Amino acid sequence: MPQSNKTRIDRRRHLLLKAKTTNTDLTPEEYFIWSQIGDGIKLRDLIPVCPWPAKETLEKIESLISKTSAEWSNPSRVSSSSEYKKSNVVLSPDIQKQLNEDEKDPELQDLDRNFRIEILKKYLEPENLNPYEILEIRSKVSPQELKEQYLALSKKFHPDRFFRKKLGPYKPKLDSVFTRIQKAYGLLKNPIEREALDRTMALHTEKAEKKSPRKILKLDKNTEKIGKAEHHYKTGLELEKKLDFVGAFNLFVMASQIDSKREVYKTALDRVRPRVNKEKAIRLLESVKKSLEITGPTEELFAELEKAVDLDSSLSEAQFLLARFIIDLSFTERFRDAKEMLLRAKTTHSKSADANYYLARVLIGLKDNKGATKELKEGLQKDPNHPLSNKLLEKLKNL
Amino acid sequence: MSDFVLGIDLGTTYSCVAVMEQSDVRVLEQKGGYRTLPSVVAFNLDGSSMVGHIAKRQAVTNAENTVYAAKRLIGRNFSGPDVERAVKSVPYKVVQGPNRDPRIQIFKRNYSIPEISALILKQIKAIAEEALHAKIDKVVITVPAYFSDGQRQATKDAGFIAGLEVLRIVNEPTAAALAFGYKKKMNKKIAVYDLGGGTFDISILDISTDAFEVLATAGNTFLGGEDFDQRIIDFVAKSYESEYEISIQKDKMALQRLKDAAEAAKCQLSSLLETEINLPFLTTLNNESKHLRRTLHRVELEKLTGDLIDETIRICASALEMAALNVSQIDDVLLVGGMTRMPLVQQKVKEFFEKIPAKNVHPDEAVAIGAAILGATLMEEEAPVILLDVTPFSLGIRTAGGFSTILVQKNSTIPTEAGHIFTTVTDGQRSVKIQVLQGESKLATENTLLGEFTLTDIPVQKAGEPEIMVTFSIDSNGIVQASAKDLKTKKEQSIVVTSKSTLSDEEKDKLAAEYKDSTPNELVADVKT
Repeated sequence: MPQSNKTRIDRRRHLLLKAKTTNTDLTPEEYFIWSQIGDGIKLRDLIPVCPWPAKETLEKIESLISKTSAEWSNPSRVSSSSEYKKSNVVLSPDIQKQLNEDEKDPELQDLDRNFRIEILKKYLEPENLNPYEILEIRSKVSPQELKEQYLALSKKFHPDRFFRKKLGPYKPKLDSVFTRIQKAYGLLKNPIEREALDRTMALHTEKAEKKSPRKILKLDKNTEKIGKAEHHYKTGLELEKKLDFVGAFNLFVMASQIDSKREVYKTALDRVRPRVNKEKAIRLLESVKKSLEITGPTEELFAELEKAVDLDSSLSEAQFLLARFIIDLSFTERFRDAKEMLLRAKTTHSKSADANYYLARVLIGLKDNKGATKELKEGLQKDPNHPLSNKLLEKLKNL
Repeated sequence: MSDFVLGIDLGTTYSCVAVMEQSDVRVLEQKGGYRTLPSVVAFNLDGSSMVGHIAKRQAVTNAENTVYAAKRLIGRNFSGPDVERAVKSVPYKVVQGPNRDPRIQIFKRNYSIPEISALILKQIKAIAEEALHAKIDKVVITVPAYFSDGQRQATKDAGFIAGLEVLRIVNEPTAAALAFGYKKKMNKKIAVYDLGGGTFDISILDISTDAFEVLATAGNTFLGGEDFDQRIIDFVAKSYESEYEISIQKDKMALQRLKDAAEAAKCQLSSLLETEINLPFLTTLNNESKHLRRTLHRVELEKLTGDLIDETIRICASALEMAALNVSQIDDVLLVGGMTRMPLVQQKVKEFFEKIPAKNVHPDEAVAIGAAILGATLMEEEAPVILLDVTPFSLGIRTAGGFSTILVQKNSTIPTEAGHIFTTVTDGQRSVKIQVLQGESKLATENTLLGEFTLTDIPVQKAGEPEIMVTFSIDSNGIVQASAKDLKTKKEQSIVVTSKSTLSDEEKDKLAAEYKDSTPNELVADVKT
């Protein structure tokens, strides 16, 4: 296959994909794509709505085409004046009637016939077109594209364009066409109004779908969901392999939210949850350590740290830090917890005298001066120069 | 008749005319090399008139019969507060006309304001015809962007009376933008700050190569150089009066001299830090002549007028807000109008827009140049540029309860139209009166009444049965028109303008015929001197 995927997409991005019939052997993903096609969709519009990378989407489309009678076809483009010249497009009776009348008016021969057809076509458009249709533009265009299209249409239909020519009955028509274009743009260029319009339009299509007897659409919604859930799960598995547990976890959560009955999603979730908790605990600890440098021990940081310990009870550094917090903030009622945590930390940090020192302070708090002395001495055996331990030992001796 | 289209900047204090000759646009000079013409008209006892420099020069000795700043009155309602304000500061007499419009009374004859403007336009036409050696009848006239429908209509009427075909009434800042961006292939968002003799406009435009889209416009048609002059006059007169205990406010000649001196001092202070106002023998008290002599420092002027400039900046901020842009999104700022030469204006604009204003536009000439460009493009086979200008005010109709229902929002692109369905309230009602309003207030009375239209010949039906669609359109000139259609019979319904504070068609025709053969006389007078 020498041809790259990119060129394959580029070549077909303006073609229309049509799929009228279907059979039942489709995978959930193919169902999803199929449901997006509807009455026909351009490839460039289809790819962004699919949740997979373009390359994968294309492969899925290919397999969908092989399974269904879906096919590519050339879409009927929005008419431009040049096309009129090339082909004899069938004109509506209204337009033909006006053109015949024009023949009698010698002044109008000044105005290009093709342009008259364009004005009439635009003028006779149904009144209930939405602003996108009036501007002959897709509903997903960027503001820049919107502006360009507006300016292009304005240049074509602005009444000033043929200021010198006698427009006759075309003058009010041109005015009204321009007003429509300008009002449609006025609405769409305002992001708030455009969003509101998009919302109502979505609502209307939903309603229309509900009303329509095509039950298959309901099924499509379901298959679309299943397809999405499955896709999330599979992507999650890949991330898990790459040790991105948080990413995998999020995808599994999304999958199980869409389809809560599927056991695989749940087991996957249970499998990665401890790993995710570990990572979260480490992240929490890091952030606490960073803020600690700035603010010193505070109750908020204490709460954060407790969360970290809850998430991962084996994270000794967090436990050690939490114990220190308890001592520094004098949470006397938590001293017993601190003692336990420090005893555990002592075993993991067996070489440092810090754990012994803080344990001693807890023991003093718990009125066990004897135990405290013992701890300090043990610590000083590991590190005879530990200044805090030495000081505290002095104090204890004096008591 | 030639194909030349004049671009005319019909200013409050000065006017300017330009033309495009083979893709080359130039300002037309008068005899003596003047590139602008004072918008001043003076009348002689025999009814003949003088326009321009000669009229301005004789103003001191003929103050009561010399009309200046008529643009401040054009298209306004006599009873409005703005007319009251304008009348206070002028030496000529203003009375109420038949259509509630202000008229200027000179030698017992009442001149409508469009007539005064027509005299200026005729002068401009003569200047251009002499400079181009061709007969001219097509013009594009500029107006402040913030002009209302009535003011635009009256300006168009002035052109008609002067025997000119007004191809387009275009907004001054839009014309300046055209002068700035025409054929430069630029893609920029610009702000045009236009502080002229009588009005202030700010327009925000988006220029995309050959499309000039106005995003928002705002302004004040009663804020300009004249108001700066008035501040100086009041300040100097007050100190003079307290010194000699004489009032000069009633001495029209003294006031006129002071006005000229104030304007000159203001202009000098744009380049000097200090200037002298020296008016010997200004008044006499007990047969003793009193002189006025004092220095005016730039800082004093800035103190006197700082609030006027602050007001323009406030308007700039609201225009930016309406365009939904912030200062950093504006690529260039243009300064237009003679008042923008004042250093404090330049400084405040620079501070507000956070950029140095563009230097390549001439503050006095850009507007006329832009109008000439527009005129020339309209005459081409297919217009190579499009102007997407906006209407500065909302257009509404009076509805039950004295409220105003807005049909076209301000800053909508023109030409545009909007419809409203009217019906009857009593059985067999044959006509419906429609009041068209311009302005933003929800209360009808707080908006400007553009005019009253009456739907007539409604077929006899029960109350509420007729459905008559009235379409209000704002054309490319910013002028409002109404048309009506019976939705049931699909027939065009006749609509009669029953009141619009502008000239009636008959009066316009009469005046046009009257002025047809009158010759402007400065051309002759200038040759003599």
